[in-house]
Amino acid sequence: MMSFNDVFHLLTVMMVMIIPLVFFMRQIYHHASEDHKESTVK
Amino acid sequence: MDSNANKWIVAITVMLPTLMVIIDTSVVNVSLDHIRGSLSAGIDEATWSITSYLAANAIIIPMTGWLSRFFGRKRYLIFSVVLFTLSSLFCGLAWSIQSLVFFRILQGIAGGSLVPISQTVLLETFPPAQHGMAMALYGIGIMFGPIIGPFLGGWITDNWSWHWIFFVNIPVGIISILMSLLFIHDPPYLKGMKMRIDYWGLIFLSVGIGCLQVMLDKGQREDWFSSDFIVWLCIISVFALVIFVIVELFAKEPIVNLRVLKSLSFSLGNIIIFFVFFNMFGSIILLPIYLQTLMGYTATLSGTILAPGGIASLIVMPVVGRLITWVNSKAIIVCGIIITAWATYLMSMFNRMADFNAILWPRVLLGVGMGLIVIPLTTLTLSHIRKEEMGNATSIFNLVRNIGSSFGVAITSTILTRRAQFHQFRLVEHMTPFDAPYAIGARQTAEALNF
Repeated sequence: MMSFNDVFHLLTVMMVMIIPLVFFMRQIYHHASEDHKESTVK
Repeated sequence: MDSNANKWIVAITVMLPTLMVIIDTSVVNVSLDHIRGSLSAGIDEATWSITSYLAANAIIIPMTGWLSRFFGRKRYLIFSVVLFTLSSLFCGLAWSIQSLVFFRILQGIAGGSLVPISQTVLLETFPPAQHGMAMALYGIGIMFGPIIGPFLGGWITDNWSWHWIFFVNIPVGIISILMSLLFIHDPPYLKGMKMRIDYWGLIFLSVGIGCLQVMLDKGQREDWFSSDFIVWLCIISVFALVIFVIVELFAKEPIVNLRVLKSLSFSLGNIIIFFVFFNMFGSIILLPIYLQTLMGYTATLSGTILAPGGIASLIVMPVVGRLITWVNSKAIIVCGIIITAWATYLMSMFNRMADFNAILWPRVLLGVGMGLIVIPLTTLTLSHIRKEEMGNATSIFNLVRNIGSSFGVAITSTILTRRAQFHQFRLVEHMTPFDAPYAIGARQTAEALNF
């Protein structure tokens, strides 16, 4: 039982540790994505 | 037909075979005993039918962007679905375990490309403002597939036979081929491209990723580095991947353009998706073991606990797809990560007294958290990539996601075994007549038994 608790503890710590990475990502600006306008829809 | 209706048809056209491919990664797991019995194979031979598919899948995913440019995306998509459908037919007709493994490799080669292709097609078909909805469709495929796969496999095997877990792909494949012929069109930038083949990149990538995938899949069974087989796989994999990176950085037309990783958002997105899928697959593998071995649940009942998590993701994802147009995507991702961390924290409190609801709700929370993370993360990761690089970027993104899942399964199951040994050792350490609590407990037990 305790081994399961240990692994889930590890998963919890791992998730908390990736939070700061999110703040370094660039935000989306839809108007800046004109490059994507050319669509495959006919 | 107006373009609004058409884009949904395109979405169904690419997601139908993708869902089929993702379901096929886990559909065999529950039918393995039946396959072994029917084909007179040992457990090690039979598990190669899973490993071969995963390895072939992992090898082909990073090459998909290049292969799409080389052959033309529509042609390559249709070829992949045809090969997948035919190899599914032959998997069902397999006469020996060797033939099954061979056709599973073909199935993996065909199937691996469908996930990145569908993601690229969705991102190009939907306008930027609707990328959230497009990624919601993709997210439903990649998150719901692994959850319904074992159910579907179990149900089909119990009610029909294991052959039908492969035969059911045939009608879906035929519909997908017809729909692809009618509704998928190559964008102008993919037409008439003349390209050289990067042979060295192709060889080192196949060897490196193939060995890594087999190592992760077989590591726990072979007791990791105490096995020569695993040690050699690790050496070959590291060597091939290091050479691959060097070759690709100097190649004029690399099979995987690693320069796309210069984008900070893209690199961070890949790191985050690695850990998110590590967590998701780690939890998916741990919960049924806990429920069946410690709590005495049946396979069906433990499946009943896993399913609501998948349904929660299914409900949350379309809502998030709409929400990211108005709300900061980063805030949604952080909320998702916090909810997921909370869910795994609640799971770390499980004990032998936990009732059905105490186990069910953390699983639902995990599903909600995952649903909140995947769509904004995918959109944010790929939103700054040029459309010419999109095929290449989705290939890398899906490779990292796939490897994250494999690492999640391999590492969590290894830590579980190692920690179980550690705790057993600590318990046994105290079983001496000189340990007061043990001596008292032993005396009380002896008295109770005498009475």
